[in-house]
Amino acid sequence: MKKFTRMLGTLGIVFAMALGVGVCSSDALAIDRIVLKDGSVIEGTIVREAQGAVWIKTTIGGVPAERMYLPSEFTSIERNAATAPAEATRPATGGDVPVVPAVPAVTTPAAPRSGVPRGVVITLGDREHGDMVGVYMVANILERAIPVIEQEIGTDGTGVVVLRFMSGGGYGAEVQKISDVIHNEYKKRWRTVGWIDSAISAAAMSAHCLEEIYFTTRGNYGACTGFYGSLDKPVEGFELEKSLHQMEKISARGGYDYRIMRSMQIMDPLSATIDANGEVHYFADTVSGDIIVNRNTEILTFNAVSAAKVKFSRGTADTLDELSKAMGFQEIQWVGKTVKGSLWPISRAEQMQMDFRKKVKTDEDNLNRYYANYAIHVQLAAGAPREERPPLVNRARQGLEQIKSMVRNNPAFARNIWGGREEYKEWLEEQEKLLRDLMR
Amino acid sequence: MKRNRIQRGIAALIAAMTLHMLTPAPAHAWAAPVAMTASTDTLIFKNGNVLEGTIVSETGTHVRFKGELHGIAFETEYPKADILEIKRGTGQAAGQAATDTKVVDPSSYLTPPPAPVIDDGRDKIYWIDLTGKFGEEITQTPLRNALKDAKNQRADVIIVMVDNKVVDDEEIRGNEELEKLYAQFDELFRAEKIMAVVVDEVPAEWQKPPRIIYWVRRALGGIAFMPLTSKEVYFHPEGKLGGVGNLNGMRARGHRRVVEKQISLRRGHAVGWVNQSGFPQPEMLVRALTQEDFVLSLKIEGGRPVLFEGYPSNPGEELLTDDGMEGNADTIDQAARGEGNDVLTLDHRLAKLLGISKGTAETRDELLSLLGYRTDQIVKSRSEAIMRDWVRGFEAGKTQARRLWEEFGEVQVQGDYDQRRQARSTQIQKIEQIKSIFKRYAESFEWRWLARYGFPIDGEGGPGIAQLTEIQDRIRTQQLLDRR
Repeated sequence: MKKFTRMLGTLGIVFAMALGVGVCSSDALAIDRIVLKDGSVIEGTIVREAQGAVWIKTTIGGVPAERMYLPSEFTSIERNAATAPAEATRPATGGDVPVVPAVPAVTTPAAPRSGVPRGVVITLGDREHGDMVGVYMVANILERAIPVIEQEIGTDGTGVVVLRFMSGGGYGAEVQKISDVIHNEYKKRWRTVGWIDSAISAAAMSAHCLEEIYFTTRGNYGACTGFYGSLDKPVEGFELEKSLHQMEKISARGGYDYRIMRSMQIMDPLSATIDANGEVHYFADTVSGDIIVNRNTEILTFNAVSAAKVKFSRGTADTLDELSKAMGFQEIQWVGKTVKGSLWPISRAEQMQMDFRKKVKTDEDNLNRYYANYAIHVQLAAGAPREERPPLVNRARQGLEQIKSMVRNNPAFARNIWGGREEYKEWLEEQEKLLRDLMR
Repeated sequence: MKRNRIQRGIAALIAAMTLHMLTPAPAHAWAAPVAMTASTDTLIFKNGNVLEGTIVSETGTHVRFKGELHGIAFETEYPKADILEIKRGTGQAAGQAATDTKVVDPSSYLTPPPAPVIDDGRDKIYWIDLTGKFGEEITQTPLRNALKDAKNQRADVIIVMVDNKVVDDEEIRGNEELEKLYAQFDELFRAEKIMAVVVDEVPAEWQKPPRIIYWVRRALGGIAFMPLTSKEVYFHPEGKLGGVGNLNGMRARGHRRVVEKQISLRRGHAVGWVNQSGFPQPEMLVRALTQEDFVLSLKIEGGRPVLFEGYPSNPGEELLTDDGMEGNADTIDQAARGEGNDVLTLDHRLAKLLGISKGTAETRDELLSLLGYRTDQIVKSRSEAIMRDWVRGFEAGKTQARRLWEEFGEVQVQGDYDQRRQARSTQIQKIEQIKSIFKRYAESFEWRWLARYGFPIDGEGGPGIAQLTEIQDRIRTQQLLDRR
């Protein structure tokens, strides 16, 4: 018993986040398959349908269960799927392969108009679900969207990807990863621009490799000072120098004077002069330039007006039409479904981002429950006679599967909770062994 | 003192639950589902959950339902908004058909079908009063519903009268811990959720967005930014706008660089919202509104107001805010009356002088007259009822939540097996009802109220619904562990 408790305790962290859909095992008799929007596939027997909702008998962790899904929760139903090849839709179960969200179901794309470039808007963070860098804004989901975007706007170099930023910052550890995906993958394939609604701290640092940045009227960008969660704990010393150096390199990617980001990180003054050719020259004080960009004792955050004044922003746009014009397009085909209340069409790649954040939000809200469910049943099994353990271990396994599903959806959880991918794997192996031991 | 008592109570509760959790469970505790009979009613929830049992009572918006879950009897009221379908067994009330009933979302009742629109060529005006406590009574859901009503009424102009009640801070003054927490509560960020309804949702949902006009009686605190997003603002002769705190106060609370970051990002947000109005010097205005060491003056150039940093140098210039240092510091009396000048508080004169206000009106008719409209152009709306219903519902919800929470704490799990099971069922039911209230009014619940009564609080300062669900899980586990 002590051993099990100790092994559970090795997690050694407070779960303050959450999860969503458990991975369902295949039933030998399964003939129907429901592909959920988050990519999970539920196999079993459909027993009822009403108003578009379906009820399916399946097994979860070896326990028979009946589940109901609303039409808004699944992308497709495969009936009598046992006779059809299954691999294409089967969720990956390996620890390294992300399974959710899957690429949303293919809809017939609008026919490309000859000679007209196509574009998509991809959101990074939203008000409803979350915006934290390293939790809701992660490199991994941007990377997974690449083949979908390729399918939607082509690979001939004429496509446009608008990255709409809405984030108050987050984990600095994610900045380099996001910057790398944008710089090494997106920018090489498409004209990639930033559309800043709010990019604070790590979000601004993530966007800073973009040469072409537009603001919304209320946009803000900056305040990149690193700190460790508390107002009295700034990033200092070697770590600070490393961060400043990192951002100098990322500034070069975006073609920005390194002093701009520096003033966003530390209290360096900054002024600027625009010469007769329209070139902007920066000075690390408040007196050499004509325009004071950052005061002596402050940290820089741009707004739409101040960013445009020193040409950091290429323009201000609140609608897609205004953005298209600011980008110089006479005509551009924005790909995706028109959705009421959305200022841009929702492409499949964008739907992926939205689904991802929705699941992460569910994960954050429920992680404590999943972990508690796991831990309690391990403890119960450990205290029960051998013959009474199987159902308890099955319950524990369900909890563990939920945690695994969470990390598959968003590998950043492994870093944020366990301290790293390896640490997570190690913990997982311990738990798997523990469950096996309980069944001996 | 009260807070400590509450915290101790919560700790004791959790400790008690944890002890129970460690007790081994019998294998047979895995309760089989209750067999469905012809007389069983079934609730199918939008989240996929299915409950079987008996409908006890039913209103237009709620269903009271009793049944058994994981071996625990329960009786709980569920909002119909959460229910996809009700399947009625043969034991239904007389006169009710045994067919599936599609539950209509109660929110659809809030907005009546569009009234017949008489197009006499004149603008239709929709009136909204934003009154009461910001964040609780002035909040996004009723505002959104009022705007939906305005859309149905095909309004051309929406006039929003702002008159918020200032939060009474007496209860937190002197309590260092609470003061510290309160200082971290950024009303601007709360206001963003409300302002987005007007600034983002209206243009996205209206084919021809209406003119939005604000009439300011009192806009103090986070709501001050709301009128500042508009190009059309009018003031009441006693109108005040400001009171958005003192950002510099953060400087005493941490490392200077980190604090400056926090100030900078907040200013960045605030300036962004003011940018929406097209005001030509948004950063100057925001600095004066939020930072007490910022010296701002006004001069007139070419007949237009121009803000500049620094003290006036000639009689034609006017000092708006001083540096708030030593002899310049506002007295408590000045600050309380909103008449100090360490930070900027706009009254009708200053607002007009700065070009923020287009005019001053004492009454609604006077305002309409200034706008060139007549009273009969105001359409008959439900905005007042929408706002009033929200406030009443919220107040009733608070009272009910407190009562349920107290009752929950009073439930004694003791006696024989059936009595213990019944007690736990009662606990679960109480929490379920609290969750239902919290879900409906989540945006209005403020952390201080929640903390005062010992409710769990989520990471954003709202009701901790997930934590309540965890408590329910623990109770269910206790039941699993219990032996006859």
